[in-house]
Amino acid sequence: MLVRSHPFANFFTLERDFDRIVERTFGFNRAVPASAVAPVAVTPDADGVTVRAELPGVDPASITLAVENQVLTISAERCAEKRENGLPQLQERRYGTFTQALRLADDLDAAAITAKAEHGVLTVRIPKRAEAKPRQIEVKVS
Amino acid sequence: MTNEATTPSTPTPTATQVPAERVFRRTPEIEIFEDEQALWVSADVPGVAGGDAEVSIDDGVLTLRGRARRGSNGNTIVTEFVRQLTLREPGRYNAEQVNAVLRNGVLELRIPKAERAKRRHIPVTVN
Repeated sequence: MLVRSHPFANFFTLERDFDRIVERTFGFNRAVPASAVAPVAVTPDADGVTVRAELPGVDPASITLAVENQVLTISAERCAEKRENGLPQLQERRYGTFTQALRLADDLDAAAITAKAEHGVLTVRIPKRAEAKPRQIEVKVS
Repeated sequence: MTNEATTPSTPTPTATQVPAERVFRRTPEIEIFEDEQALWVSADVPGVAGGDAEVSIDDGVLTLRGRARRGSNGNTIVTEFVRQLTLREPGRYNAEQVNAVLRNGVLELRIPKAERAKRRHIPVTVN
């Protein structure tokens, strides 16, 4: 049986708030490296899917997006600021590379992906293929 | 006997879509670094644009605030980042000369130390 939705669709629903997921994610297990825990929210709607990743401190130039065989791979790197002659007093943030791979359902048009990086947030939009969108069918009355 | 199937003379009003705004509070993750000249404080506030970030110092308490808005179809989600830090010795720092920069969703502060708090190197003369 074909699974239409990708593996992450069950974790992020329209009702569940993205921010609460972040709180839960960062509340536990701070020892986990950045690549495993970067918050990515996937929100499907009638016309496609929106993927949102929080990447504060990431230079947009270091973000790469690749699609192959309906798998979207997002990579980014957060570099630590070079600070010398001092002592860190408190360190809650994580640095390093972040990678997330998402399997796109077959009704999504991988060739029409658009992405925007702004204020430390990456927003990726994947529309549905034209023929997969809900269509109104005109009823002709004779 | 009335005919229940007739349409009412005035149509019943349909519910109008009221734009909804939900506000969620989050505590941003921070990093504090101290060197000889200043205290550096950075906070992760993804989604916060220039103009929506606020920094204030009041009696040794540093308050960082940022608002990030996103939404579609009239529904807005607002994330309010708030973090407060107490400066152990407020006299060590020059509160008036705090420099705050917002870049790529990170709010970075530089709080310079007061002259008297900086480490002074005393030259050693050899006799």
